[in-house]
Amino acid sequence: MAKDRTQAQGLRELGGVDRVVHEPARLMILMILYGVREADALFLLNATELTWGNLSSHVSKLEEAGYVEVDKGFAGKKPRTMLRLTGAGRRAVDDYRATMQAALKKPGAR
Amino acid sequence: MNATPSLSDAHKRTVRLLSYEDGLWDLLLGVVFLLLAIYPLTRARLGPGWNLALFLGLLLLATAIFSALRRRISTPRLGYVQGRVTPEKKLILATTVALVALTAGLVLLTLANPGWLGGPAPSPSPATLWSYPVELLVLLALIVLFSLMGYRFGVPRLYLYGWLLGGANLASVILYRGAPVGFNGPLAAAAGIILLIGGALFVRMLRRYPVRDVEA
Repeated sequence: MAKDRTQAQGLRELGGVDRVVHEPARLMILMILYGVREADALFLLNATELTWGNLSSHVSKLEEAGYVEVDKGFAGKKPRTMLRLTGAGRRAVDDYRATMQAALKKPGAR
Repeated sequence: MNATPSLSDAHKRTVRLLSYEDGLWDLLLGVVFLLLAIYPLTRARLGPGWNLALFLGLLLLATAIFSALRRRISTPRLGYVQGRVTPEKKLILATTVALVALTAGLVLLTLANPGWLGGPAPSPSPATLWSYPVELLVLLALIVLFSLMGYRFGVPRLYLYGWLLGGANLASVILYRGAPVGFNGPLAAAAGIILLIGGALFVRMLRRYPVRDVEA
């Protein structure tokens, strides 16, 4: 009975997962940025294999949520867009990971 | 797209794309071991002091050329990343530097072949593999170092490099036993294979990642 209650609670938590982070393409962007100080848009494009349009739209959503900082500048004469994870973005990834790990834990596993 | 991405996979992919995708690291490694292959030859002509100066000078020159190639050719194609320095990464870096220094020192030691090293004395009976403890240690160190890097960053060809370079060092010592070492053939062959792989990867990078004019 207590086990059923725990499972039901896990599933309820899954329903409340952060949907900005949950989308696979955005999750990939966040995970790449999680391991580095900053990266440019070209690197993210190659690492995620998204199109420019897709990448741009997902980065905009992450920026609106306050998870990613976008810095438009120049490298020599060429424009360069640098992206870095904010503190809120880092916490969102940590929370997401904890939620998913708890919710997807195998029944009976500790 | 990977259905079950993890932070560790993302990290491996980042390092792989940043350091190993363009083949420049392989080319630099090949050049370093090619220099080590001609090291005994130039040592006999220049003497130990000048030879070491030449070796270090060429090493610095090669490093500068490859850094410039990465900045001018690879970065505009692959993108720019600045890594995050964490205590764990500092520890990994320190361990790697220590292992590389130890391995390079052992390789140089076996190439310099000083008298006190006590290699197998020339004898009519063939020496066993265990007669070469320092070379076996180099082989082990290279295999461990390259395998660790290959495993950590998900780059399988690094396993091959460990065996190739360690094996070449051992083979050269066995081949040239008792004879004055000139050009180190096995090490040059190993370096040549690595240079070929690096060259192929560099060409593949140029074809796969064209310079893009549009920014997101």
